[in-house]
Amino acid sequence: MTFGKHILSVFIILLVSVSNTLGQQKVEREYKLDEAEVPLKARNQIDVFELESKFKWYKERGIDETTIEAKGCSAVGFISIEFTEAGDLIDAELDVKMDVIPDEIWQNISGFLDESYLKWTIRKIQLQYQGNTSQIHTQLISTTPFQPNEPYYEIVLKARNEDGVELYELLFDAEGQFLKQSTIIFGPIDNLQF
Amino acid sequence: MRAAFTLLCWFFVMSGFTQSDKQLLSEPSLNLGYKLSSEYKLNVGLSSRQLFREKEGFDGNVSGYEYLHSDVSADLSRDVGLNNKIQVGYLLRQTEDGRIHRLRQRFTIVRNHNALRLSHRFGTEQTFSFNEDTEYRARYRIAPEIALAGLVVDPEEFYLKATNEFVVARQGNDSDIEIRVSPNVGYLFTSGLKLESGVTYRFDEFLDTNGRHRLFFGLSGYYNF
Repeated sequence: MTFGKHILSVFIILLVSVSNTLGQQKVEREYKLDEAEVPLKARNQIDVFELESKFKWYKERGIDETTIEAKGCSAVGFISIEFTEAGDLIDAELDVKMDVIPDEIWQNISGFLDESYLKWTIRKIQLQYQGNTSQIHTQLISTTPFQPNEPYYEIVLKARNEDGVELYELLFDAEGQFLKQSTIIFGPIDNLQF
Repeated sequence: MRAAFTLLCWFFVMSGFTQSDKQLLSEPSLNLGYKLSSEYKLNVGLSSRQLFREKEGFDGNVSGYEYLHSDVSADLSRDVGLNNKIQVGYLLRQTEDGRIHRLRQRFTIVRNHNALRLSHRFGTEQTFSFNEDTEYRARYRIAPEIALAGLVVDPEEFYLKATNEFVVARQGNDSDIEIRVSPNVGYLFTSGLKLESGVTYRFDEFLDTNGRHRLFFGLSGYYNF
């Protein structure tokens, strides 16, 4: 009985201490937005794409900037369109399968991955397009994803190096040359483990 | 919340019309995690179970509050691949009648699908007590978790978690199967601290008898140092 009361005491202490820990915040955060909260300029540009499904809107707050993202399905696949807070278009990313990437570009990308990691598996590939709304719209309805604009390649992969297994996001230019890498951090899974 | 309410209503309806035993309980728990290295982690768990109401059969005895037991556990887990954990642990249960010792082995797989995190947990257990045969259990739990704002659960955001677990037990010549269903609401205070609250419905002892229905009210805290 006494032990049970001790556990209850620990809970009360935990709840009281919560107010002291609220100040610590993760650097990057994402919020779901109602359409009414999205800048009108961004909403108007989305209408141009005449997409099959309704978009879902998100706000992503990073270290230096906050962006607005629209995610949804188009005739050519799942796309994500990123805007500045003012509603100016930054880029659009189109989900594709690996076999869409031309052989010579894929050789550059896979060569870099072989050199950088002991073992790797692709989780997601996106073609990244920059330009204005009209250019990107033209691109998305084009018969080939490589004309008139050459995309960058954003790749999410599970990879093993000397420190263990991580999930990474890498960006390659139109020639398949490496530009940058970031590690995707997951929250603790204790509540799914216990 | 609607699912939890429906479950609660269903439980009380069942309580009035079946021959089964019914129990209403609570089991708060606290789980503390400490990363030993990039791959290994130690988790210590504390929990306590209380019985608030019990009814035996359709017109059987009705009993009130009773403290049942408290648990202390320690688990060592190792990362296997991305978001997969293999763990071994020991649990000590203090009851009014004495102590129970349990060894457990688990393997947990977690997959991310946009706003959904889906976990599969496989486990085996061996329970030793002073005057009973060793009990062997095998269990499987599936648990989806959904962020209620955005694609991932960030600090100061709510999430929903549901679990469905099947437990097969063997003790001496007796066998049993238990089914558990649990809807929960969680809140992530910081990246290392989360609280979950929900109900867990458990149904067991239905192979040889009319079965036993148990409804637990739970509050669980998870803190990582």
